[in-house]
Order: sequence, then C-alpha cells, then structure tokens
Amino acid sequence: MKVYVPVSEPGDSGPRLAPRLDTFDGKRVGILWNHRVHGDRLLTRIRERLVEEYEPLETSWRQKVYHGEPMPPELLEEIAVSCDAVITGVGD
Amino acid sequence: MDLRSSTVDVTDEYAAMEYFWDQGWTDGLPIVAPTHDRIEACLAHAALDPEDVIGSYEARASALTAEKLAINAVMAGCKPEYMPVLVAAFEALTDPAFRMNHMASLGSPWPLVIVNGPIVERLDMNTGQYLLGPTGNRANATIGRAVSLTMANCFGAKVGGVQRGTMGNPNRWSFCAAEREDSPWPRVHEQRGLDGGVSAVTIVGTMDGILQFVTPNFTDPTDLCELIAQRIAYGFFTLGTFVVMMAPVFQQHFIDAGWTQDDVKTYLTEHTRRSVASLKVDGRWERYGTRLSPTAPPIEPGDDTNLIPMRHDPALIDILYTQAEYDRKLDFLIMACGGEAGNYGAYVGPYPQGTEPVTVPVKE
Repeated sequence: MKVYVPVSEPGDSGPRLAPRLDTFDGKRVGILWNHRVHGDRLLTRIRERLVEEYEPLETSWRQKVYHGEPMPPELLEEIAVSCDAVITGVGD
Repeated sequence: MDLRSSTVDVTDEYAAMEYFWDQGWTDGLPIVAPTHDRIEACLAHAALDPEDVIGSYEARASALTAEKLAINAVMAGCKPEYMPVLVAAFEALTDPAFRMNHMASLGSPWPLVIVNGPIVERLDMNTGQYLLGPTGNRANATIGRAVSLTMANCFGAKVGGVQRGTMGNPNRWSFCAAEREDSPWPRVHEQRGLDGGVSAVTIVGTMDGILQFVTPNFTDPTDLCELIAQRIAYGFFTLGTFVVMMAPVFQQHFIDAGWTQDDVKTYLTEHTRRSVASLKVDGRWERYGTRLSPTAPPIEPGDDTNLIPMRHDPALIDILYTQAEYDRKLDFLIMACGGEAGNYGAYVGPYPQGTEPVTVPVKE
C-alpha cells in the first residue's frame, strides 16, 4: 500500500534562509536581540568574538520591543537593506 | 484527484505505523495510515483542492496546504466530516493575533479548541460528562489530536523543531471541547461576536491545564464567584483571556439568582486579587523591569494584606507585567459544559504573553 508523507515539503512553504556568506570581508553583520532575557548577553559575546576574529568587521545592534511578536515590518525592511547577514537567537 | 505529497510503499497498515513512528511523524500513539482514498475523502468533504493554502505563518516560513491537513486528519482518526472544523481551527491558529510564536515557550503552552454551533450536534461532539476526555467520543478526541499532529508535522511544533517546552503538556494529546447548544447564556462564539446560529471554532492560547472549582454546598453567586476568583488568582495571575467552564448545576445558581453572564465577568474582573506577599513568594512580583534578582523580594510589613486586583493598572507595569502584557485585554469566556451531576466548574488560564483568542466560522 502507498501512504502519504505528513510533513511539509518544498513547495508547501514560503521563503527559507537567506544565502550563506562565503566571507566576512567587507560585509555588514547585524545582531538582532529579540528582547528575551539573557539573549542580549549571548549575542553581545558572539558579537565580541566575531570582531576579535574578523576585525575590521562592521557590526550593528538592533532589538525588538517584545520577543513574542513577529518582527515589525519596518525593522525587517531596514535590516534587510543595511546588513549582509543577521545573527539572532535566544539565551535561555 | 492528484496529490502532491511524497509517498512511501509499505506492506500493510501496521508497517505504515512503524514507518511513521520511526520518522517521528506521530505523537507516539498508533495512527491510521494516510492512503489516497482516505485523504481524498477529507478534501472532498470540505470541497478543497490539495494545493489550497489553509494558512501560513510568515515568521516560520510555513504554509499549510489542504492536502497536508487532510493527511494529518486521517492519521489522527478523523472522519471526513470533521475536516471543516479543522480548516477553521487552522485559519484561527495561523491568524496573526494568535501569535503562533508563543508556542515555542519553555512553558509548554497548548491551545484549547472550542467548537460551537449546530455542527456540535451534527458531529455528535461531547459537551457533557468528561467532555475533555477521553470518553471514546471520536470527534473531540481526533479533532484535538489532528491539531497536535499538524502543528508538529507542518509548523515544527515538536521537540527538535521550534518547540522548547521544559515539561510538556498532556493537553497536547487532544484539547478540544464543545459547548452545550442549550445554554441559556451567550455561548463562546456569541461572546466573541458571532451569530449564535453559526458554527465556529475558537482557539485560546493556554499554558496550564484545567483547574476545577469544587463546592458541594455553595449556591450564592457571590460565594461561587469568590471561589472562581481565588482559583484564578492563585494561578499564573496574568492579563489575558480565561475560559471559565460551568457545569449545568453550577451555572443554574447564577440564573436562579438573576445574574447575567456579564455580571459574572464584571465580578471576576473586580475581585480576582492576590496579596503582594504571595506574589513575591511566587516570583511574580518585580519579575520585570526594576529588579532582576536571583532571590525573592523581601516581604515587607503589610504585604500580606495588600491585595492586588488582577486587572489593568499602569502603576504595575514592570512590576507585575511588561508593557506588552499590559496591552492585552483581560477577558473571560464563560462556557457551559460538563456533566449533569455536580456543583462543579473549571477554568483554563491564558498563556501569559502575546497570544489572543481567535474565532473563525466553520465553512460547510
């Protein structure tokens, strides 16, 4: 008998992750904190490590007002045009 | 009907189950094998094409097609007739107001699915004794289960996906209830602004399970409301929407005394309160903003008798709730359900952040 796969498959869903960078040379890396407690500590350290290893690397910091909300469209728009890569995450 | 999903060849129904278990596509219980004819019957009953999009969640880049919903409905054991309820449920779950993001929380939140209107009787849903199951009622059990399987398989709401709950939530097996059609008070979908003759699904984001009100003797509405208020106050004490379930005996005391449903809601809004001392011990006081300390705030003289109402108070922003939590509505949905015997009720409290209830009419 033939049975059907229940999980979402390519074609069911919208956009996926942006293309990965192959180098940090001349790139602008945005750090996005979703405002969840401790995430700021984690992302600050990641930012420091990146700068230590890849100096001179241009980094910038942004934060959402509330982690439970989707990204505000205007912030998404702004970060998309002013960064080549974005790092985000939680620190729980 | 052409289906687009990938297929797997298996020798029989049991081999399908084994395969699905191995792939992590089930909730751990046996499933019904999703075959072409079974999936097609679900789609046909809801007059859907396989590629129709029921809902999408942009933040997760996830979209749910009718075909994937039907596959999961079959797996859960749904009859094709249940499909319109599931469609409405996922239109609600993917509504931005529900904020599906919150389901990744460490608190293991899980939504309550409330079904109202004529479809309750047509699907023979259980509104009475043991309605939250399990009683063998197929509709209650499998609609709730299909929601859970679909959330896992199509929106990543599973361990290893985006779900990060610390303890898990037994409501997740199936958390679907229907309201009595003969309630003398406005039913949940009417409280949410729809016409009573419409069938509808209401989704409410919740975290902890039901907590019951048990009083063999009380009949005075004020006493009964104080009982409810105390139960709610000693829960998570948050703004949001609380579902208060009343069994017929419990509800009748209010009706006999001339109380309206709104009277109950007003009383609970005014009188759900808790002492500062208790909130401090519970880690709720000064949780945000000014004090982020690994120790509980010291209890000061007067904290035991200083009762804080669980309602909007701008002075409590960053003490009891964040600005975003404060911006939520405090609401009570009163639901008539449960067995004929017993002066019982129960409430389900909201997930404390972000999510708002969503009500969607069932298209038949």
